[in-house]
Amino acid sequence: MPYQATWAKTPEKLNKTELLKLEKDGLDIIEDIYRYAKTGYESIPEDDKSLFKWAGIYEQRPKDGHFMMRVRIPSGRLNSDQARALAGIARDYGRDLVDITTRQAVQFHWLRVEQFPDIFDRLAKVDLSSFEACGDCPRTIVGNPLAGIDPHELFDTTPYVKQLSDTFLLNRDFSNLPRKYKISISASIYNSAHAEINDLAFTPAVKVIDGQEVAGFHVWVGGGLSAKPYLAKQLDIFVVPERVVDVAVAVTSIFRDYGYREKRHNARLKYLVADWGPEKFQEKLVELTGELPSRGEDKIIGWNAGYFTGVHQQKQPGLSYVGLCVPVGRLSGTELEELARLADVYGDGSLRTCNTQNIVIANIPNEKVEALLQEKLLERITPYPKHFTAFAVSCTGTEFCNLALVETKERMRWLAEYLDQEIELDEPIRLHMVGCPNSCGQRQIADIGLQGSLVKTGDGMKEAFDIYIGGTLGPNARFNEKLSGRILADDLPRVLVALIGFFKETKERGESFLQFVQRVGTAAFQEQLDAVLAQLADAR
Amino acid sequence: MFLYRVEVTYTDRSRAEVIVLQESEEKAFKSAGGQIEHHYLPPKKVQEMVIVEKKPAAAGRGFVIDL
Repeated sequence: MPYQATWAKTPEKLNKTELLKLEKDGLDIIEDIYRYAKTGYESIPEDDKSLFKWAGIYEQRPKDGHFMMRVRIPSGRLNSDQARALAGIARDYGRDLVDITTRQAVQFHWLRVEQFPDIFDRLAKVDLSSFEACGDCPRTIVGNPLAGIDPHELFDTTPYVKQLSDTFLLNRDFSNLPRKYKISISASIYNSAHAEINDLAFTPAVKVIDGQEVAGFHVWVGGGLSAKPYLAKQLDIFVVPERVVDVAVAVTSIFRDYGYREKRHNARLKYLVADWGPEKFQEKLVELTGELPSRGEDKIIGWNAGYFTGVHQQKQPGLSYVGLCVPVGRLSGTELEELARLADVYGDGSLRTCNTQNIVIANIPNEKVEALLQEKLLERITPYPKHFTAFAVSCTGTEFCNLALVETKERMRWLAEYLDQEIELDEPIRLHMVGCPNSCGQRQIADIGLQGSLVKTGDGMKEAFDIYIGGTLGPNARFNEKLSGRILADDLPRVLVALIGFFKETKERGESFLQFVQRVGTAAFQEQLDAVLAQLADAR
Repeated sequence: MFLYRVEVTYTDRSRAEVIVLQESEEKAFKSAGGQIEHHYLPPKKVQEMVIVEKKPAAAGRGFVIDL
């Protein structure tokens, strides 16, 4: 039954975007894009440009007629035909550039409106879509990239990812939400789908029902990053897998019908959850779903941060997956095409994108692994990356993003490479770099987060960074904390060498960076930062 | 046009946040400097001026400054 847009009764309480969405559903833009492809960029009204997001398209910096397109890859599952289609789009239209995002999607740049009909068509032919990859709607479903092959999953979530994706994609009951809406689902006991930073998350759990232990999910609501990060709250319910879609539809309906539409900056679900609290939210949820069992036993025991580099045994005997590091998520279409070929030759064509901007080739018979490892491509996109390159994440930055203040992608890649040359560590440090507070590069969950700013100096405007330390998800999830003192971009290598050197010299055997931060406190890092900043000031 | 949020530290260690509407980062710094000159008498000397955030300008957009 179609829903009633109850908020339309009080237009004086709606922001400008909401009024626009009442006049024209975001999904209507898809048909219009075919028209604009014939009439050209100059013919697109500004209001319609803002709706391009529903087609997965943003104008890229500096708004000269080029666009970015994001393609949904639910749970990161790709087959080789799909990878080849993506590679072809990059090669033919996107200057051979492919970025893997922190939500397992793929992004192209340099596209023009004339090209979109052919791109939509190419995606549809391989069952991919850019639709609702952006906009105020349910975006791509993030999941365990190892779903179905993971020795550490409670059960395979692949069918539930598909059900969720099929339920929400192009569904006009949910194409006008108050704001963006992110779902994650995983049965990995290592929280590989980053549950706590999603609007709605399903995590593995068990519960004894009628004398039988049943595997299912716990449910989290209201997480998100951006300028006001908030960890999702767990509800006191247990959901059997068969009811995942019911519960997701109910949570999304609550967001649609009760979420805030007056001001865009407090429209995300996290603001409603913060106001209501999980108890009231759950009461409303149960009104829609009917009674649900109370919470069972949580099965998450840690956080793997979404990293799978290296060669690993699958849960299927005789098969392995090979996790490859794609430095800061950027590869060429040519490289993606070669990955598709390798997936066909050595495996069954299965590839998986990761929320750490990396990629996995799955289902490789053990006897073929050695030959795969000898392939030329794996010299750069390697299963055995050096520590800092392996754990470096970056947003798009000023190269293409209109909101970024600083360049990030190439800087993070270079910086990680530099640290790999300078420091040998036996423990990984996850570095995330972002160009603005919106945190597409998930700065808040990094061991060391770097957030860009612009400083006015006697020598003109210079790029600079704030440093944050000690973020984690999973048990004891917490966002990282800011250190006082702004670092010019040129000084970042020296400052990071000092801070990481402090960790390396002072840590106990086997102690992780997070454990170290928790033991010594941020004040100890602040002392180190103050000292190195003083040295830098003296040297000027 | 963008709304820019500029963090300012003065030589006396006091701090302020200046919000300016401008079309580029360079111009935002210049406008923020102008606003500061206009605001203080006797004048305050700026030690550090940093753009920490920008948003596309539109009616109703702004920043919250924690005091």
